[in-house]
Amino acid sequence: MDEQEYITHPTTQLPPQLSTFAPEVDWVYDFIFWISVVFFVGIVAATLYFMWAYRRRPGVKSEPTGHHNALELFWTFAPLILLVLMFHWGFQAYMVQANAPDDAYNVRVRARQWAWEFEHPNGITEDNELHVPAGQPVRLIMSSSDVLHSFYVPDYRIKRDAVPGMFTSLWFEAIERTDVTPEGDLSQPDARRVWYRNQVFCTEYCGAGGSWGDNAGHATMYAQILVQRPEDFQEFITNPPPPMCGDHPCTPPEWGEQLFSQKGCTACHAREEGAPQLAGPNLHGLFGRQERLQDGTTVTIDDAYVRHSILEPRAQVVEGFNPVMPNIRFSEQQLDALVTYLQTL
Amino acid sequence: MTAQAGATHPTSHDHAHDDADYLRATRGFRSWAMTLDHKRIGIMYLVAVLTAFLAGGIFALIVRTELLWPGRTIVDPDTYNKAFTLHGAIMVFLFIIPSIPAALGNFFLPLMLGAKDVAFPRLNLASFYIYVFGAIFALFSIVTSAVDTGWTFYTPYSTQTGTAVIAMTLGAFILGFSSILTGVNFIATVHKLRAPGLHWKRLPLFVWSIYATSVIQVLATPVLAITLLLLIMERALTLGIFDPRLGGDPVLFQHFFWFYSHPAVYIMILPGMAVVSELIATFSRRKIFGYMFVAMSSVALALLAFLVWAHHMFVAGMSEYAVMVFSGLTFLVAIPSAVKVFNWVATLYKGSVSFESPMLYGLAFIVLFTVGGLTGLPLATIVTDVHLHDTYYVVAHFHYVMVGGTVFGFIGGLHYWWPKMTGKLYNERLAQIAFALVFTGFNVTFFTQFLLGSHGMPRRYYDYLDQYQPLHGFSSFGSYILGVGFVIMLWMFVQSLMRGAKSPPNPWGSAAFEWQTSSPPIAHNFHETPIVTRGPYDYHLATEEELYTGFPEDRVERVTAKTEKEEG
Repeated sequence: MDEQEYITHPTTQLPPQLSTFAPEVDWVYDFIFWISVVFFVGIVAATLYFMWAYRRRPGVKSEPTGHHNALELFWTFAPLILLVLMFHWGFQAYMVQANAPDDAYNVRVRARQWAWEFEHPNGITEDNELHVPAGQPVRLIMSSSDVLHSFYVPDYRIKRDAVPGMFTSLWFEAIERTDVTPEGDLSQPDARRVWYRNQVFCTEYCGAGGSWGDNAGHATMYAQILVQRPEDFQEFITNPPPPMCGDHPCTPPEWGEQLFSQKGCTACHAREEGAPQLAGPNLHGLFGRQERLQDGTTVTIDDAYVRHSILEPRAQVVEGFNPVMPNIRFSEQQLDALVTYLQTL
Repeated sequence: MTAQAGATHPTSHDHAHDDADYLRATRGFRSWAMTLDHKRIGIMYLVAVLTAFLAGGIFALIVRTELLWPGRTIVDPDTYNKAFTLHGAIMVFLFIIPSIPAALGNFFLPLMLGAKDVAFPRLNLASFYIYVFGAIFALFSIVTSAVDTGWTFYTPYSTQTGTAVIAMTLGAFILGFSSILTGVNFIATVHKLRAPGLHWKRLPLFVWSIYATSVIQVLATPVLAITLLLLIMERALTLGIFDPRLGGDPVLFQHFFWFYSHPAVYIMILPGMAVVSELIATFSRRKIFGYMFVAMSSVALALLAFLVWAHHMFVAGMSEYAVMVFSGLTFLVAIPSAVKVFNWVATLYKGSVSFESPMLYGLAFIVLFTVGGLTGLPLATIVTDVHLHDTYYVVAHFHYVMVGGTVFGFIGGLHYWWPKMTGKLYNERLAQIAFALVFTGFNVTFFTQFLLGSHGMPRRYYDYLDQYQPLHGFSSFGSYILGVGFVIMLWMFVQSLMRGAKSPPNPWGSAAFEWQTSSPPIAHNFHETPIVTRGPYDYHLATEEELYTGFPEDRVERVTAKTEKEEG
């Protein structure tokens, strides 16, 4: 295949076509685009010509307007044919997107303010990153734990809302790219090898927390789809690599710090002394601190309180804060790492 | 008609009588605050909506400036979210919806019908005060903690955010009443107060469109009122209508909301079309081609407006068949819109076209509305909408329709009728400079956003990826040009009020009915009820006196001299 075909779209500057849907969607878009160009040029050219040809001249009067019902009927019904075509092709292509193949690889997606969590069928979870195999249909089954979000991948031409209280789904198949070489030793399957990446946006407005930090809420609710060669993906999913911090596997506190930002905690919790007030308490010098709770009791912050507050965030809320923290899922190992990290603050 | 009486017998300020123009008929604050004169109420609305436009414009510039560069530029994310919410809410509820119907419509609908006033003058004044009351609620929300939900108030975010959602939605709720009462008043006025001889086939197209708008206002606005009340109750009492944790449905809110707010799009655009039909006819000296088709297309748009609301929700989780039905119905809207554009263009053919500033806005409207309409097609087509939904493409599309359409129509109408409303002429050269800046700035700002959107840039983003910076920067640059254009225009109008030359009754040589009275009109519009013997655009039936008496002195001489030269 011609390399350029992936990179830019010839006429309308749509993003690269990296899913199997993209060429068909773009074809419909091009059809509408060129019809529009023809109509626009026709209308503007006629307007400009009439403006010039019938500009006001002394002694020349306007002619009385006649009737022309045939002309009216023509330009009422002729465009209708083009519109029916647009509707038809648009709907036909959509029905392909609406029905996932039976053999699709199912991934659960949980959206929350302001992060995406992905869960593979074997229970492995990822935050703001989703590994998928190229050349195989992937179905996303989405839910939201708070407000509306919308999952959008421009390179795939897919988008669908994640709605609290219901499941929505969509599917895609990332194409195999012959023009891109995955990094690493290609003779061995490697769980860390990524073929190419695609940006995921949230396109349903979902608010922002506090002032500007690492996380600007809706505007930074990004994720990436990491497309792998099928054999690399098999390796990743059966034998996931340890979390990496730079060039070495993470120590527990390093992993905890990574999780802290991956899970979106930075949006509501400052970690520096004297930082501006966010939606949740500042975590600087957390352990051993005395806090008054909403029910009037006082606790000393310890390992047990922190774990309980992460698992059931609305049970013991510190006085002066609203019970707005979401339930965030952690594995036992992740929780240990996070608590180890929080102790260092 | 005794149209020019008011102008040929100017009255002194001291003893106002029947011949005094409406601005000088009575004096003092109370004579304005308690006035029942539709023209004065129209002027008060005009001042109010222009104030709202200024406020909404300032919020727009905050948004565009923040987006000059990725990351933090001038405000934090919370402030940014409030700024774009207030920009949208103020522009929609306080400016675009009331701009043409309540300000220009109030002033000109009775004049065009040959009536002394609207059917219910007291109700008309009440509508204005209800508008002010609603605006105060919105203002209260802004000064307390503002709102950060976006103007659509989507649940569940709107029931969870800590900002002043209740004050703002109550404001919109109250503004809805103002809208309904104005609509009822106009419908009654059109039905009951037409002058003798003014049958439906002779109605100015402005009246047809405002009539269709009024029908939508009366039928759709109550749905918004109920929706906003439900939202307020949900927030205050935790009813669980929209909250899934209590068994509610968050998507239900969207259905309710768009059942009003899609027809509201036609409350916004039909009046723009109304003005443009008048502009094209007057400055081409020709009846609008396919008059009845243009009139009926307004009615068709008003009816179709109620059938397409869910095209805002193609990716919201509706069933595939619902998506199919709403996509199909949405395409039908393109037909009456296209019919109008074709007929406006055909009107220029064999006309006598002049290019004063109102006409420039009229012609710009045709071009920009065409762009807005054509770019709606990929949004009606399901599979392309999936890609473009909630990106800057949509932002660009609806700004082409609402700014390129409604606002250009409104400004064109303001230029056109300014001499009639104030009795003053304005500096045409300044008006044309302002037009050039507004037209250029608008296209630089919003055409760029089509490209941003098709590249995948989502809307309502405080921050963005570096790859979008050049286009965002270019768009913000355009918004500053647009801003400068509006400031020059404001200056030009203020200058006209302070030291503009006195306007003749009919400076454009229009055959439309409202130009047959003096400028500004006398308090009771006409000395005697006019008897209508022709249509508003029947230039071939209009007398020379009707068309030319109103011309500025030098222009009459110029035209006469040139005519004599050619004939001699």
